[in-house]
Amino acid sequence: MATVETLLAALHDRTGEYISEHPATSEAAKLGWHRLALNAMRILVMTSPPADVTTILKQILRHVDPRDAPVNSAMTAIGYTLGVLADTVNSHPDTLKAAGHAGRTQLRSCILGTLHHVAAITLQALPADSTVPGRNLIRDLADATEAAAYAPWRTPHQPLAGLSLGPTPGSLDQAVDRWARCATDILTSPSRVTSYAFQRTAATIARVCFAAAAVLTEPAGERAGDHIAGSTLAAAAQAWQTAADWPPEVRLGGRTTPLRQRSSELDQALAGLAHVAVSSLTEHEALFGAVLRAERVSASYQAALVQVVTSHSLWVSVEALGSHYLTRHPGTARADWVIDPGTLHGEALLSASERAGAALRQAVDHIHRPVTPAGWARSPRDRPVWETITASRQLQRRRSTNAPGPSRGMGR
Amino acid sequence: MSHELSQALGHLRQAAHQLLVQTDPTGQTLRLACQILDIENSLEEVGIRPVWVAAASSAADSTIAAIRLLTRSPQAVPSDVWPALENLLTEVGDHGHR
Repeated sequence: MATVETLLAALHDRTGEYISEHPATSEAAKLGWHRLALNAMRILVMTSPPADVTTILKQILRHVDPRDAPVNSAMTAIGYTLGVLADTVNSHPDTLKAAGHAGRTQLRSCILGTLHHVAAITLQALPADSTVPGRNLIRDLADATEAAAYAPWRTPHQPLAGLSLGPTPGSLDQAVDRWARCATDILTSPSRVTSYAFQRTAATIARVCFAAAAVLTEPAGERAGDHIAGSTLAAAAQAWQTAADWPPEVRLGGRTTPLRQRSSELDQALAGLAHVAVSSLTEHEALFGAVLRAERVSASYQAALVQVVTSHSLWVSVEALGSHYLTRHPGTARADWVIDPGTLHGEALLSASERAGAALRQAVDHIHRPVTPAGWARSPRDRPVWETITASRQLQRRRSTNAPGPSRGMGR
Repeated sequence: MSHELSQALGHLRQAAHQLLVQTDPTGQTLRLACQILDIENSLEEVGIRPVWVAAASSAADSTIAAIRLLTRSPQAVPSDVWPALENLLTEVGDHGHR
């Protein structure tokens, strides 16, 4: 599957070809604009585009000839490449959002630069007095995107650069994607979150970290920094295993069948990696992506746990509270579960989750990632260079100050 | 729902805890704990609510205690749980006595 990086490289090349080709006639110049404008807009709407560019593109869609250019032309290739790029970023909205302003700006700049060059070349084939519909709009587009043409062509950094068109069916990517969505959905739903959801999610995050740590520590010392990344991932794995260890006398009931299924699928996908040599870039990237997704799920985990604890929603076994509780609460049975009257269990769970979250963030900071070389306008065929990123991050406490909410029913 | 089934679930909760509390760089105890968590979830879904039970001496003993109780009411246990329990018993025997 082509990644965003390779698609942008292809876009760069095809634009260069269009500049070289030069539409021979005004008739040829007016073709292909509908597809190009449509797919460019599908990308730009995800990246906070300039309002005037959006307005012009919408007008172009209404007024230009809807026909495609010849199938083997650079204009058609540009249109289709923009289409695949649009499909790719639209299938990963979370990653695009997480790429931040810088990442989205780089992507937007590439698209606007492409639009400018194509518009400028098209105009050269359309005389100023041409009555071709949309000629003035293409001129307006060239003007509105001129600044982008002077910006260096830079592809975004990972993970945006590594995105491809959705996870491959049956792949680790797909299993991680489905688990992450399911876990996040359940954790962010106060009526659906359960102790199983918390424990199983924490355990799955730990399993992802264990799997990634195993890859980075074999073979030993192949790359400087691999051991550090591997050991921080192993530490994160153990921290999340601890977070998964809820006391047997504490629970939060409910039904979470989908999460059990998605977690099991991911377990199988991870187990499958253990039986093959994870030496290819694809598996390496898949595990790296899994760790990043796990980090995002961990944020939902911690927010959900804060909500549960601060709203005093945890249940504790009456049997574990001891005979003095029964004495003070006649009518309560030993087999009952009651709202935890104390705070120690909740505080312990929160502390464990915070330590685990911090350990995972530290591990992510140390993971090797492919980065594009410094400088711009390099050949799109250059392979990326691996380097260790050791940016520090500040641990943020995620304590909620929300007032306790209504208790959950006991009959779950 | 029978009290024995609730106690069985309580033993499984102890077994998961006894595995998760271990430091195991191989990740094997974590893998087994995940299996137990999934079994617990399957049992809760058919309406079995756990009761707190005192921990047995090891994860293996907790698992054995759970299975003994579950076999007294096999019709109440989802059929896909049995193979998982058998597999668990085989594997956790190596890890429960560390």
